[in-house]
Amino acid sequence: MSLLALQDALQDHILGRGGGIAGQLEAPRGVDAAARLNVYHHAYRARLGDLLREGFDKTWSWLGDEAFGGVVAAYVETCPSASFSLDDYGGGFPAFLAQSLPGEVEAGELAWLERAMRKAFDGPDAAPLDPTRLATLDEAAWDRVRFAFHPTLVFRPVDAHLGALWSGIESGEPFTPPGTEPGLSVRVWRKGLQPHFRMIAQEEARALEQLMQGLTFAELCARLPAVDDVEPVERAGAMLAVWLQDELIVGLEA
Amino acid sequence: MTQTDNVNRDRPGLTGFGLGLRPQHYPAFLADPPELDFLEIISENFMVAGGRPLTTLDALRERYPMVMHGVSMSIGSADGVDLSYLRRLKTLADRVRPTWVSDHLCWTGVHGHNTHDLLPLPYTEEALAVVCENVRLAQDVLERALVIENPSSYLTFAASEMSEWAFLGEMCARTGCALLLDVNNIHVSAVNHGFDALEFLNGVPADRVWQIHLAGHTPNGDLLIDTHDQPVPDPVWRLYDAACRRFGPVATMIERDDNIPPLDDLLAELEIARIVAADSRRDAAA
Repeated sequence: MSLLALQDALQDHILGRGGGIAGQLEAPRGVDAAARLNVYHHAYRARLGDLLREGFDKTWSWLGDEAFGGVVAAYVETCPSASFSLDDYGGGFPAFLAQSLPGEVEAGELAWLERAMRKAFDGPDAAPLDPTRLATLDEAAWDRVRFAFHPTLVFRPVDAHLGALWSGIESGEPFTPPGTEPGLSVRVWRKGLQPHFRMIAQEEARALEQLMQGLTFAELCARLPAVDDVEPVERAGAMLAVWLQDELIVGLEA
Repeated sequence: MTQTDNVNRDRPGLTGFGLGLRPQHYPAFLADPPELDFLEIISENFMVAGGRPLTTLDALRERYPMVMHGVSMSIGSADGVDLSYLRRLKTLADRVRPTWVSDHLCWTGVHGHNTHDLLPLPYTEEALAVVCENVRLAQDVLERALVIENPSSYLTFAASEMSEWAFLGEMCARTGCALLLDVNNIHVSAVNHGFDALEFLNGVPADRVWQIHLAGHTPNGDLLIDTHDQPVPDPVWRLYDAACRRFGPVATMIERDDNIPPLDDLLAELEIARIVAADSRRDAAA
Protein backbone atom coordinates (compact mmCIF):
# COMPACT_ATOMS: atom_id res chain seq x y z
CA MET A 1 0.00 0.00 0.00
CA SER A 2 1.40 3.42 -0.94
CA LEU A 3 1.82 6.10 1.72
CA LEU A 4 -1.02 8.12 0.21
CA ALA A 5 -3.35 5.11 0.18
CA LEU A 6 -2.45 4.34 3.79
CA GLN A 7 -3.10 7.94 4.83
CA ASP A 8 -6.39 7.89 2.95
CA ALA A 9 -7.41 4.72 4.77
CA LEU A 10 -6.52 6.05 8.22
CA GLN A 11 -8.23 9.38 7.52
CA ASP A 12 -11.35 7.57 6.34
CA HIS A 13 -11.36 5.55 9.55
CA ILE A 14 -11.07 8.69 11.68
CA LEU A 15 -13.83 10.44 9.72
CA GLY A 16 -16.08 7.40 10.16
CA ARG A 17 -15.99 6.33 6.51
CA GLY A 18 -14.55 2.83 6.89
CA GLY A 19 -11.10 2.63 5.35
CA GLY A 20 -9.61 -0.83 5.88
CA ILE A 21 -6.63 0.49 7.82
CA ALA A 22 -6.63 -2.20 10.50
CA GLY A 23 -4.90 -4.72 8.23
CA GLN A 24 -1.89 -2.39 7.97
CA LEU A 25 -1.28 -2.37 11.72
CA GLU A 26 0.53 -4.49 14.27
CA ALA A 27 -0.49 -4.96 17.88
CA PRO A 28 2.58 -4.75 20.13
CA ARG A 29 2.15 -5.39 23.85
CA GLY A 30 -1.11 -7.20 23.19
CA VAL A 31 -3.13 -4.01 22.57
CA ASP A 32 -5.10 -4.73 19.42
CA ALA A 33 -5.36 -2.47 16.41
CA ALA A 34 -9.01 -1.59 17.08
CA ALA A 35 -8.19 -0.18 20.52
CA ARG A 36 -5.30 1.81 19.08
CA LEU A 37 -7.38 3.18 16.21
CA ASN A 38 -10.11 4.11 18.66
CA VAL A 39 -7.74 6.62 20.30
CA TYR A 40 -7.65 8.66 17.08
CA HIS A 41 -11.34 8.10 16.25
CA HIS A 42 -12.36 9.33 19.70
CA ALA A 43 -9.83 12.19 19.86
CA TYR A 44 -11.14 13.64 16.58
CA ARG A 45 -14.70 13.87 17.88
CA ALA A 46 -13.65 15.04 21.33
CA ARG A 47 -11.41 17.79 19.95
CA LEU A 48 -13.97 19.21 17.53
CA GLY A 49 -16.82 18.78 20.01
CA ASP A 50 -14.88 20.61 22.73
CA LEU A 51 -14.11 23.41 20.27
CA LEU A 52 -17.82 23.86 19.47
CA ARG A 53 -18.90 23.64 23.13
CA GLU A 54 -16.32 26.28 24.03
CA GLY A 55 -17.05 28.53 21.05
CA PHE A 56 -20.84 28.35 21.41
CA ASP A 57 -21.21 28.00 25.17
CA LYS A 58 -24.23 30.34 25.39
CA THR A 59 -26.04 28.50 22.61
CA TRP A 60 -25.22 25.26 24.43
CA SER A 61 -26.57 26.69 27.67
CA TRP A 62 -29.75 27.87 25.94
CA LEU A 63 -30.45 24.61 24.11
CA GLY A 64 -29.31 22.16 26.80
CA ASP A 65 -26.98 19.17 26.53
CA GLU A 66 -29.23 16.90 24.48
CA ALA A 67 -30.33 19.23 21.70
CA PHE A 68 -26.96 21.00 21.42
CA GLY A 69 -25.01 17.73 21.66
CA GLY A 70 -27.10 16.24 18.86
CA VAL A 71 -26.31 19.12 16.50
CA VAL A 72 -22.61 19.02 17.46
CA ALA A 73 -22.41 15.29 16.78
CA ALA A 74 -24.15 15.67 13.42
CA TYR A 75 -21.92 18.60 12.43
CA VAL A 76 -18.73 16.75 13.32
CA GLU A 77 -19.81 13.66 11.38
CA THR A 78 -20.92 15.51 8.25
CA CYS A 79 -18.60 18.52 8.09
CA PRO A 80 -14.89 17.63 8.11
CA SER A 81 -12.45 20.48 8.66
CA ALA A 82 -10.76 21.89 5.60
CA SER A 83 -8.69 24.62 7.26
CA PHE A 84 -5.30 24.59 8.96
CA SER A 85 -6.91 26.66 11.71
CA LEU A 86 -8.98 24.78 14.25
CA ASP A 87 -10.77 28.05 14.99
CA ASP A 88 -12.14 28.16 11.44
CA TYR A 89 -14.03 24.94 12.07
CA GLY A 90 -16.86 26.72 13.89
CA GLY A 91 -17.52 29.02 10.92
CA GLY A 92 -20.22 26.87 9.38
CA PHE A 93 -21.83 25.82 12.66
CA PRO A 94 -24.41 28.62 13.10
CA ALA A 95 -25.93 27.99 9.66
CA PHE A 96 -25.86 24.22 10.26
CA LEU A 97 -27.59 24.66 13.61
CA ALA A 98 -30.23 27.01 12.17
CA GLN A 99 -30.93 24.50 9.41
CA SER A 100 -30.99 21.54 11.82
CA LEU A 101 -33.32 23.22 14.33
CA PRO A 102 -35.49 25.61 12.29
CA GLY A 103 -37.91 26.11 15.20
CA GLU A 104 -35.15 27.28 17.55
CA VAL A 105 -34.91 30.88 16.35
CA GLU A 106 -33.08 32.13 19.45
CA ALA A 107 -30.49 29.36 19.26
CA GLY A 108 -29.69 30.00 15.61
CA GLU A 109 -29.29 33.74 16.13
CA LEU A 110 -27.35 33.27 19.38
CA ALA A 111 -24.92 30.94 17.58
CA TRP A 112 -24.46 33.54 14.83
CA LEU A 113 -23.75 36.19 17.47
CA GLU A 114 -21.23 34.03 19.34
CA ARG A 115 -19.38 33.32 16.10
CA ALA A 116 -19.41 36.98 15.07
CA MET A 117 -17.99 37.98 18.48
CA ARG A 118 -15.24 35.35 18.09
CA LYS A 119 -14.36 36.63 14.61
CA ALA A 120 -14.28 40.22 15.86
CA PHE A 121 -11.88 39.18 18.63
CA ASP A 122 -8.95 38.57 16.27
CA GLY A 123 -10.21 40.39 13.19
CA PRO A 124 -8.22 43.18 11.49
CA ASP A 125 -7.07 46.24 13.45
CA ALA A 126 -8.07 49.82 12.58
CA ALA A 127 -7.59 53.01 14.58
CA PRO A 128 -10.83 54.90 15.37
CA LEU A 129 -11.45 58.26 13.76
CA ASP A 130 -10.60 61.21 15.99
CA PRO A 131 -14.02 62.92 16.34
CA THR A 132 -12.35 66.36 16.31
CA ARG A 133 -11.64 65.81 12.61
CA LEU A 134 -15.36 66.27 11.94
CA ALA A 135 -15.20 69.76 13.45
CA THR A 136 -12.73 70.76 10.74
CA LEU A 137 -15.13 69.91 7.89
CA ASP A 138 -16.74 72.87 6.14
CA GLU A 139 -20.23 72.73 4.62
CA ALA A 140 -18.96 71.66 1.22
CA ALA A 141 -16.99 68.82 2.79
CA TRP A 142 -20.06 67.65 4.72
CA ASP A 143 -21.89 67.39 1.39
CA ARG A 144 -19.42 64.79 0.11
CA VAL A 145 -18.09 63.05 3.22
CA ARG A 146 -18.02 59.26 3.22
CA PHE A 147 -17.12 57.13 6.24
CA ALA A 148 -15.03 53.98 6.53
CA PHE A 149 -16.14 51.54 9.21
CA HIS A 150 -14.17 49.17 11.42
CA PRO A 151 -13.27 46.04 9.42
CA THR A 152 -14.78 43.76 12.07
CA LEU A 153 -18.24 45.36 11.77
CA VAL A 154 -21.05 42.96 10.82
CA PHE A 155 -24.79 43.30 11.33
CA ARG A 156 -27.95 41.39 10.49
CA PRO A 157 -31.68 41.38 11.15
CA VAL A 158 -32.78 39.14 14.02
CA ASP A 159 -36.01 38.18 15.73
CA ALA A 160 -34.56 37.35 19.16
CA HIS A 161 -33.90 39.92 21.86
CA LEU A 162 -30.26 38.87 21.88
CA GLY A 163 -29.12 41.47 24.43
CA ALA A 164 -31.52 40.21 27.09
CA LEU A 165 -30.87 36.61 26.10
CA TRP A 166 -27.08 37.04 26.33
CA SER A 167 -27.25 38.80 29.70
CA GLY A 168 -29.66 36.24 31.09
CA ILE A 169 -27.46 33.31 30.10
CA GLU A 170 -24.31 35.08 31.27
CA SER A 171 -25.84 35.72 34.70
CA GLY A 172 -26.04 31.99 35.33
CA GLU A 173 -29.35 32.60 37.13
CA PRO A 174 -32.83 31.51 35.98
CA PHE A 175 -34.39 34.21 33.80
CA THR A 176 -37.57 34.80 31.85
CA PRO A 177 -36.90 34.19 28.14
CA PRO A 178 -37.29 37.53 26.36
CA GLY A 179 -39.07 35.97 23.39
CA THR A 180 -38.88 37.05 19.77
CA GLU A 181 -40.09 40.06 17.84
CA PRO A 182 -39.68 40.81 14.14
CA GLY A 183 -37.86 43.93 13.08
CA LEU A 184 -34.75 43.85 15.28
CA SER A 185 -31.14 44.02 14.15
CA VAL A 186 -27.81 43.42 15.86
CA ARG A 187 -24.38 44.72 15.04
CA VAL A 188 -21.04 43.28 16.17
CA TRP A 189 -17.66 45.00 16.12
CA ARG A 190 -14.46 45.34 18.13
CA LYS A 191 -13.71 48.48 20.17
CA GLY A 192 -10.05 48.50 21.12
CA LEU A 193 -9.29 44.86 21.94
CA GLN A 194 -12.80 43.97 23.11
CA PRO A 195 -15.58 42.59 20.87
CA HIS A 196 -18.99 44.19 21.43
CA PHE A 197 -22.53 43.85 20.16
CA ARG A 198 -25.45 46.24 20.25
CA MET A 199 -29.10 45.76 19.34
CA ILE A 200 -30.01 48.40 16.76
CA ALA A 201 -33.08 49.59 14.90
CA GLN A 202 -33.56 48.42 11.34
CA GLU A 203 -33.15 52.03 10.23
CA GLU A 204 -29.61 52.06 11.58
CA ALA A 205 -28.85 48.72 9.91
CA ARG A 206 -30.11 50.09 6.58
CA ALA A 207 -28.07 53.28 7.07
CA LEU A 208 -24.90 51.29 7.78
CA GLU A 209 -25.48 49.11 4.75
CA GLN A 210 -25.91 52.11 2.47
CA LEU A 211 -22.92 53.99 3.88
CA MET A 212 -20.72 50.90 3.53
CA GLN A 213 -21.83 50.68 -0.10
CA GLY A 214 -20.49 54.20 -0.69
CA LEU A 215 -23.37 56.53 0.06
CA THR A 216 -22.27 59.92 1.35
CA PHE A 217 -23.52 61.05 4.74
CA ALA A 218 -25.43 63.90 3.04
CA GLU A 219 -27.13 61.42 0.69
CA LEU A 220 -28.12 59.33 3.70
CA CYS A 221 -29.66 62.36 5.39
CA ALA A 222 -31.64 63.10 2.22
CA ARG A 223 -33.00 59.55 2.08
CA LEU A 224 -34.10 59.25 5.69
CA PRO A 225 -37.80 60.00 6.20
CA ALA A 226 -38.99 62.33 8.93
CA VAL A 227 -40.29 60.32 11.89
CA ASP A 228 -42.30 61.72 14.80
CA ASP A 229 -41.29 65.26 13.85
CA VAL A 230 -37.60 64.42 14.25
CA GLU A 231 -35.75 65.75 11.23
CA PRO A 232 -33.66 63.25 9.21
CA VAL A 233 -30.48 65.25 9.80
CA GLU A 234 -31.08 65.13 13.53
CA ARG A 235 -31.60 61.35 13.49
CA ALA A 236 -28.59 60.77 11.26
CA GLY A 237 -26.57 62.97 13.60
CA ALA A 238 -27.68 60.89 16.57
CA MET A 239 -26.59 57.69 14.81
CA LEU A 240 -23.24 59.26 13.91
CA ALA A 241 -22.67 60.24 17.54
CA VAL A 242 -23.21 56.64 18.66
CA TRP A 243 -20.93 55.31 15.93
CA LEU A 244 -18.17 57.68 17.02
CA GLN A 245 -18.65 56.71 20.66
CA ASP A 246 -18.52 53.03 19.69
CA GLU A 247 -15.31 53.68 17.67
CA LEU A 248 -17.09 52.23 14.67
CA ILE A 249 -15.78 54.84 12.23
CA VAL A 250 -12.13 54.47 11.29
CA GLY A 251 -11.77 56.90 8.40
CA LEU A 252 -13.39 59.57 6.31
CA GLU A 253 -13.13 60.79 2.77
CA ALA A 254 -14.24 64.35 2.08
CA MET B 1 22.63 10.91 0.63
CA THR B 2 21.69 14.49 -0.23
CA GLN B 3 21.64 17.52 1.94
CA THR B 4 19.99 20.90 1.51
CA ASP B 5 22.79 23.38 0.79
CA ASN B 6 21.06 26.67 1.57
CA VAL B 7 20.11 25.86 5.17
CA ASN B 8 22.23 27.05 8.04
CA ARG B 9 22.69 23.88 10.09
CA ASP B 10 24.36 25.63 13.04
CA ARG B 11 22.44 25.53 16.29
CA PRO B 12 21.43 29.03 17.45
CA GLY B 13 22.74 30.08 20.84
CA LEU B 14 19.41 29.76 22.63
CA THR B 15 19.47 27.45 25.66
CA GLY B 16 17.97 27.76 29.14
CA PHE B 17 14.40 27.35 30.33
CA GLY B 18 11.11 28.64 28.94
CA LEU B 19 7.38 28.14 28.80
CA GLY B 20 4.69 27.85 26.17
CA LEU B 21 2.57 31.01 26.02
CA ARG B 22 -1.11 30.26 26.55
CA PRO B 23 -4.05 32.75 26.38
CA GLN B 24 -4.97 32.02 30.02
CA HIS B 25 -1.62 33.52 31.05
CA TYR B 26 -1.67 36.66 28.87
CA PRO B 27 -2.70 38.94 31.77
CA ALA B 28 -0.08 37.48 34.13
CA PHE B 29 2.68 37.81 31.55
CA LEU B 30 1.75 41.40 30.76
CA ALA B 31 1.33 42.45 34.40
CA ASP B 32 4.47 40.86 35.83
CA PRO B 33 6.67 39.13 33.24
CA PRO B 34 8.48 36.22 34.90
CA GLU B 35 12.19 35.53 34.41
CA LEU B 36 12.41 33.11 31.50
CA ASP B 37 15.04 32.45 28.87
CA PHE B 38 12.46 32.16 26.08
CA LEU B 39 8.78 31.85 25.25
CA GLU B 40 7.31 29.39 22.78
CA ILE B 41 4.18 30.42 20.90
CA ILE B 42 1.72 28.19 19.05
CA SER B 43 2.06 29.59 15.55
CA GLU B 44 -1.55 29.01 14.52
CA ASN B 45 -2.86 31.05 17.49
CA PHE B 46 -1.21 34.11 15.97
CA MET B 47 -1.89 33.52 12.27
CA VAL B 48 -4.81 35.93 12.58
CA ALA B 49 -5.57 39.41 11.30
CA GLY B 50 -5.26 41.42 14.53
CA GLY B 51 -6.77 42.03 17.95
CA ARG B 52 -5.59 40.92 21.36
CA PRO B 53 -3.47 37.92 20.26
CA LEU B 54 -1.13 39.98 18.06
CA THR B 55 -1.10 42.95 20.44
CA THR B 56 -0.04 40.64 23.27
CA LEU B 57 2.50 38.93 21.04
CA ASP B 58 4.11 42.22 20.06
CA ALA B 59 4.33 43.33 23.70
CA LEU B 60 5.92 40.07 24.87
CA ARG B 61 8.23 39.92 21.86
CA GLU B 62 9.95 42.99 23.27
CA ARG B 63 10.57 41.12 26.51
CA TYR B 64 11.47 37.54 25.53
CA PRO B 65 13.35 35.60 22.86
CA MET B 66 10.70 33.51 21.09
CA VAL B 67 10.44 30.24 19.24
CA MET B 68 7.45 29.33 17.08
CA HIS B 69 5.78 25.94 17.36
CA GLY B 70 3.20 24.80 14.83
CA VAL B 71 0.67 21.98 14.66
CA SER B 72 -0.63 22.25 11.10
CA MET B 73 2.30 21.97 8.69
CA SER B 74 1.51 18.30 8.03
CA ILE B 75 5.09 17.64 7.00
CA GLY B 76 4.32 13.95 6.41
CA SER B 77 1.39 14.33 4.02
CA ALA B 78 1.92 12.26 0.90
CA ASP B 79 0.06 14.87 -1.14
CA GLY B 80 2.42 17.63 -0.06
CA VAL B 81 2.43 20.60 2.27
CA ASP B 82 0.05 23.53 1.85
CA LEU B 83 2.01 26.39 0.29
CA SER B 84 -0.50 29.04 1.38
CA TYR B 85 -0.07 27.83 4.97
CA LEU B 86 3.72 28.06 4.65
CA ARG B 87 3.49 31.62 3.28
CA ARG B 88 1.25 32.72 6.16
CA LEU B 89 3.67 31.07 8.58
CA LYS B 90 6.52 32.99 6.95
CA THR B 91 4.59 36.26 7.39
CA LEU B 92 4.25 35.51 11.11
CA ALA B 93 7.92 34.52 11.36
CA ASP B 94 8.91 37.84 9.76
CA ARG B 95 6.93 39.61 12.49
CA VAL B 96 8.12 37.49 15.43
CA ARG B 97 11.73 36.93 14.29
CA PRO B 98 11.86 33.65 16.28
CA THR B 99 15.07 31.86 17.11
CA TRP B 100 13.58 28.87 15.29
CA VAL B 101 10.33 27.44 13.90
CA SER B 102 9.17 23.94 14.76
CA ASP B 103 6.41 21.49 13.89
CA HIS B 104 5.84 17.75 14.22
CA LEU B 105 6.87 14.59 12.42
CA CYS B 106 3.31 13.75 11.46
CA TRP B 107 0.53 14.39 9.01
CA THR B 108 -2.79 16.03 9.84
CA GLY B 109 -4.81 15.13 6.75
CA VAL B 110 -4.79 14.53 3.00
CA HIS B 111 -6.95 15.67 0.08
CA GLY B 112 -7.73 19.00 1.73
CA HIS B 113 -9.00 17.58 5.02
CA ASN B 114 -7.56 18.41 8.42
CA THR B 115 -8.15 16.06 11.35
CA HIS B 116 -6.36 18.51 13.68
CA ASP B 117 -4.44 15.56 15.08
CA LEU B 118 -0.77 14.66 14.85
CA LEU B 119 -1.18 11.41 12.91
CA PRO B 120 1.70 8.93 12.81
CA LEU B 121 3.74 7.86 9.81
CA PRO B 122 5.03 4.44 8.88
CA TYR B 123 8.83 4.58 9.13
CA THR B 124 9.54 3.57 5.54
CA GLU B 125 11.90 4.80 2.83
CA GLU B 126 8.85 6.12 0.93
CA ALA B 127 7.68 8.15 3.94
CA LEU B 128 11.21 9.39 4.55
CA ALA B 129 11.43 10.65 0.96
CA VAL B 130 8.05 12.41 1.30
CA VAL B 131 9.01 14.03 4.61
CA CYS B 132 12.40 15.17 3.33
CA GLU B 133 10.86 16.71 0.21
CA ASN B 134 8.29 18.54 2.33
CA VAL B 135 10.92 19.69 4.85
CA ARG B 136 13.08 21.08 2.05
CA LEU B 137 10.12 23.00 0.61
CA ALA B 138 9.20 24.39 4.03
CA GLN B 139 12.79 25.40 4.70
CA ASP B 140 12.98 27.14 1.33
CA VAL B 141 9.79 29.12 2.00
CA LEU B 142 10.69 29.91 5.61
CA GLU B 143 14.35 30.61 4.72
CA ARG B 144 15.57 28.78 7.82
CA ALA B 145 16.19 25.29 9.17
CA LEU B 146 13.05 23.62 10.49
CA VAL B 147 12.95 21.99 13.90
CA ILE B 148 10.90 18.79 13.96
CA GLU B 149 9.30 17.24 17.05
CA ASN B 150 8.67 13.56 17.71
CA PRO B 151 4.92 12.97 18.25
CA SER B 152 3.28 10.53 20.64
CA SER B 153 1.72 7.63 18.75
CA TYR B 154 -0.52 4.65 19.29
CA LEU B 155 -0.28 2.86 15.94
CA THR B 156 2.48 0.52 14.78
CA PHE B 157 2.49 0.09 11.02
CA ALA B 158 3.41 -3.33 9.64
CA ALA B 159 5.18 -1.59 6.77
CA SER B 160 7.74 0.21 8.98
CA GLU B 161 11.31 -0.56 7.96
CA MET B 162 13.23 1.40 10.60
CA SER B 163 12.89 2.79 14.11
CA GLU B 164 11.47 6.26 14.75
CA TRP B 165 14.88 7.49 15.93
CA ALA B 166 16.62 6.13 12.83
CA PHE B 167 13.97 7.92 10.72
CA LEU B 168 14.53 11.20 12.58
CA GLY B 169 18.30 10.94 12.25
CA GLU B 170 18.12 10.25 8.52
CA MET B 171 15.67 13.15 8.07
CA CYS B 172 18.13 15.50 9.79
CA ALA B 173 21.04 14.23 7.73
CA ARG B 174 19.22 14.60 4.42
CA THR B 175 17.60 18.00 5.00
CA GLY B 176 19.68 19.85 7.60
CA CYS B 177 16.67 20.18 9.88
CA ALA B 178 16.97 19.93 13.67
CA LEU B 179 15.02 18.16 16.41
CA LEU B 180 12.69 19.15 19.19
CA LEU B 181 12.56 16.16 21.52
CA ASP B 182 9.37 15.88 23.51
CA VAL B 183 10.56 13.66 26.34
CA ASN B 184 6.99 12.86 27.39
CA ASN B 185 6.20 11.77 23.84
CA ILE B 186 9.22 9.47 23.81
CA HIS B 187 8.01 7.87 27.05
CA VAL B 188 4.39 7.58 25.82
CA SER B 189 5.42 6.02 22.51
CA ALA B 190 7.96 3.73 24.21
CA VAL B 191 5.26 2.33 26.48
CA ASN B 192 2.65 2.09 23.71
CA HIS B 193 4.99 0.39 21.23
CA GLY B 194 7.18 -1.51 23.65
CA PHE B 195 10.56 0.02 22.80
CA ASP B 196 13.32 1.26 25.10
CA ALA B 197 13.11 5.03 25.57
CA LEU B 198 16.86 5.21 26.26
CA GLU B 199 17.53 3.52 22.92
CA PHE B 200 15.51 6.36 21.32
CA LEU B 201 17.55 9.01 23.17
CA ASN B 202 20.83 7.35 22.23
CA GLY B 203 19.73 6.86 18.64
CA VAL B 204 19.05 10.46 17.63
CA PRO B 205 21.90 12.72 16.49
CA ALA B 206 22.89 14.72 19.58
CA ASP B 207 24.14 17.72 17.60
CA ARG B 208 20.71 18.20 16.00
CA VAL B 209 18.74 18.44 19.27
CA TRP B 210 17.86 22.13 19.69
CA GLN B 211 14.89 22.00 22.06
CA ILE B 212 13.22 19.77 24.65
CA HIS B 213 9.54 19.65 25.69
CA LEU B 214 8.44 18.32 29.07
CA ALA B 215 4.81 17.34 29.63
CA GLY B 216 2.44 14.84 31.21
CA HIS B 217 0.08 12.15 30.00
CA THR B 218 -2.89 10.04 31.08
CA PRO B 219 -3.07 6.22 31.35
CA ASN B 220 -6.00 4.66 29.47
CA GLY B 221 -6.12 0.88 29.84
CA ASP B 222 -2.93 -0.57 28.43
CA LEU B 223 -2.04 2.60 26.54
CA LEU B 224 -0.67 5.96 27.63
CA ILE B 225 -2.54 8.88 26.08
CA ASP B 226 -0.58 12.02 25.34
CA THR B 227 -2.86 14.60 26.92
CA HIS B 228 -0.32 17.28 27.85
CA ASP B 229 -2.75 18.19 30.65
CA GLN B 230 -0.90 16.87 33.70
CA PRO B 231 2.26 17.75 35.61
CA VAL B 232 5.46 16.10 34.39
CA PRO B 233 5.48 12.61 35.97
CA ASP B 234 8.50 10.82 37.46
CA PRO B 235 9.28 8.58 34.45
CA VAL B 236 9.48 11.67 32.25
CA TRP B 237 11.74 13.47 34.76
CA ARG B 238 14.04 10.40 34.78
CA LEU B 239 14.14 10.40 30.99
CA TYR B 240 14.86 14.14 31.01
CA ASP B 241 17.79 13.50 33.33
CA ALA B 242 19.13 10.99 30.78
CA ALA B 243 18.55 13.50 27.98
CA CYS B 244 20.51 16.19 29.85
CA ARG B 245 23.43 13.80 30.28
CA ARG B 246 23.44 12.90 26.60
CA PHE B 247 22.71 16.28 25.00
CA GLY B 248 24.09 18.83 27.49
CA PRO B 249 22.40 22.24 27.75
CA VAL B 250 19.36 22.36 25.46
CA ALA B 251 16.51 24.90 25.50
CA THR B 252 13.89 23.22 27.69
CA MET B 253 10.29 24.08 28.47
CA ILE B 254 7.14 22.79 30.11
CA GLU B 255 4.43 22.32 27.48
CA ARG B 256 0.90 22.32 28.92
CA ASP B 257 -1.93 22.25 26.37
CA ASP B 258 -5.00 21.60 28.51
CA ASN B 259 -6.12 21.80 32.14
CA ILE B 260 -3.92 24.90 32.27
CA PRO B 261 -2.79 25.67 35.85
CA PRO B 262 -1.85 29.10 37.23
CA LEU B 263 1.38 30.47 35.81
CA ASP B 264 3.12 30.14 39.17
CA ASP B 265 2.51 26.37 39.11
CA LEU B 266 4.25 26.06 35.76
CA LEU B 267 7.13 28.26 36.94
CA ALA B 268 7.53 25.95 39.95
CA GLU B 269 7.56 22.92 37.65
CA LEU B 270 10.14 24.62 35.46
CA GLU B 271 12.31 25.06 38.53
CA ILE B 272 12.40 21.27 38.86
CA ALA B 273 13.70 21.08 35.28
CA ARG B 274 16.45 23.55 36.19
CA ILE B 275 17.43 21.38 39.16
CA VAL B 276 17.43 18.14 37.13
CA ALA B 277 19.57 19.76 34.43
CA ALA B 278 21.99 21.24 36.99
CA ASP B 279 22.33 17.91 38.81
CA SER B 280 23.08 16.10 35.56
CA ARG B 281 25.78 18.67 34.70
CA ARG B 282 27.28 18.37 38.18
CA ASP B 283 27.34 14.57 37.94
CA ALA B 284 28.93 14.78 34.49
CA ALA B 285 31.64 17.11 35.80
CA ALA B 286 32.40 14.94 38.85
